[in-house]
Amino acid sequence: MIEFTLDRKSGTATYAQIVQQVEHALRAGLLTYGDQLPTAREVVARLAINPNTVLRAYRELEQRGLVEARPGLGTFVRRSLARPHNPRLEAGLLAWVSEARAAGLGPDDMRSLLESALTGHLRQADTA
Amino acid sequence: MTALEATGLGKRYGDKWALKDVFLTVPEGRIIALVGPNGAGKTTLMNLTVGLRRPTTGQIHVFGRPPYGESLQHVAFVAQEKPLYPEFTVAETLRLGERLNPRFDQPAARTRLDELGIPLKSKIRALSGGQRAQVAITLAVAKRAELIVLDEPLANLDPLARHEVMEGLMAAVADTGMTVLLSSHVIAELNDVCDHLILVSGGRVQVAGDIEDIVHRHRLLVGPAGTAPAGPYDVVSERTTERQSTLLVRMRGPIHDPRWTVRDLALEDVVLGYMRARDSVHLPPPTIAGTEDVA
Amino acid sequence: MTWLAFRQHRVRMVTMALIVALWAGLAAVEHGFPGLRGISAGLFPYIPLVLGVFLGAPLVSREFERGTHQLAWTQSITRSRWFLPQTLVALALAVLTTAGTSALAWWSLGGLPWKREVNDTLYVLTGALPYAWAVFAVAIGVAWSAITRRTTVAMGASFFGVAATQLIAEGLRNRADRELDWPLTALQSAEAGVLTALAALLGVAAWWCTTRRDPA
Repeated sequence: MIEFTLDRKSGTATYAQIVQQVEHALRAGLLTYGDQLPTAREVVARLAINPNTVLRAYRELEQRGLVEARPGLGTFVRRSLARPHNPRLEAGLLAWVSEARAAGLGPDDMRSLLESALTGHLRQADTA
Repeated sequence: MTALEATGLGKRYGDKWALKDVFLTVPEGRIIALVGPNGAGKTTLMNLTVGLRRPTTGQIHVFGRPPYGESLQHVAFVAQEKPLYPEFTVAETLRLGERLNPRFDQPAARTRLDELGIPLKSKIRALSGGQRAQVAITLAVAKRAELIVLDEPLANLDPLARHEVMEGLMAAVADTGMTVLLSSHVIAELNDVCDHLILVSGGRVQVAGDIEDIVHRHRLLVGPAGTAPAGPYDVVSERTTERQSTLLVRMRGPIHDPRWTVRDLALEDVVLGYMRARDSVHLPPPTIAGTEDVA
Repeated sequence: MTWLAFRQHRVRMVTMALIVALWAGLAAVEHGFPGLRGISAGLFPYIPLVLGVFLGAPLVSREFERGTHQLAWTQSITRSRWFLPQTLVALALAVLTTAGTSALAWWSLGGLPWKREVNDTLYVLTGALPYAWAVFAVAIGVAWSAITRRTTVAMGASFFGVAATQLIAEGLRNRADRELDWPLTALQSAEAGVLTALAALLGVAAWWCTTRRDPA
């Protein structure tokens, strides 16, 4: 079972934050097929938010085919987003990070580099 | 089903109208924020909703019935000072609820107070402010009314107590699906909780509707002073310097004017805009329908 | 609602029981020392003042002062169904206190014969009359309570209301005794009847103010 947290200053809608956190947990392998998501009551009793917000997030996840609601039982994970562990990619990235640091780049510089590389790559892929 | 409906509702104290020409339709299952400056008429509207006061003009219906006598079982109320009998014990306070309400859920109330660590044997006067608020709200929730009305439920509470009160209330909503009407003048504390808004100012309802709709329909327009942007909109409030005009507008259609910048607003900005405008705003219609689309 | 009315009158029940106990002590002393006879009987006319001030006057105003009317009147009952048990419990308590104190005062007088005079202490001690005064005193207290919504003001107004009515009643009964050739028991009954009618009017006024007027 996972627990949600809220960033009240982020400007991201609360339901979207829940969706993101579930997706992240699916990617990170914290949630896998068959796992149950916390009930709306459990979430609101911890975060003091509108229950409809939780239901809306779960509906969105359901529409994306990631979870399914089983009436009377709860909401369960249908599909995992976890990628198999890839040590070669990880090692490559670590090497890149130490190289960047040696070149005098801070974490923010690295992040923005990665960000622009991603968008550039994705744009290329889209037009291709 | 309509949880709350007001038609031509007005309340006069002496020769001063505390509330005038109120038309409202609030659907069931919403968590409604009633906001407005102090003395705007929030408490009057709440008192009319729970039958403590009678309207001078018009009518108010809670789930289709006027809130008096037997119909009071459909609406629960927690006044701002959270009044309870100080000489009663917590258990006696629950007993009061059980005796006076046909659908009172005593086991649920006991479970909740147990969760909160409030002993049933304590006298009400021995409890802290936060605990008293919890008992008052637990009592109202256990009434199992379809609508619960809370006047400034978080006022005079420390941050932890505020969070606990909201957690309990939201859990109760998840359990029962009840409609909640709560007032506050701190909009920030309502953001994660409410999905519907009623804004009262100067004794009138300035805006009422689903919060997403309201936010979606208001924009900030910034452009050169002395001109007006082209497009269908109503001005809520306006600020002008020598060169620049800033308008908070309610959109009725898309605005395409290259000289003007159109900016999205947060709920708080919209509310503040109406509060600043006070009673100078009389935009027809007061209720936002929410079907037609705006850019 | 009856439970609530009893619960809210718990302290007043104890107070009234103490008054009766005090009266019993006083009556016992008088019984033992015949020279002191007549004290409790002489003090008896003050009982309605106590009843009006302590049982009647706080009834509605205390709720307003503590804001608890917002609690009591938003449960699933009408304000009438809140008001009636409260008033009935106060009345019952007043009647019981009157029964206790009047019986004790009467007993303390021992063998003294009733002089069959309107001015005799026994006139207000016997028959329905002491109960009529009790009911009237509570009614005037509750009426002031509902009208003024302030306990201290209602207490003062009830005190003077009951005292003034006692003075007027004394004058009227003396005059009636002189001008009408009625037996004293008939005079007592007539006085009791008038007081009860007044109490009923005051009760309706209190009920109307409680149930029909908006809370402040």
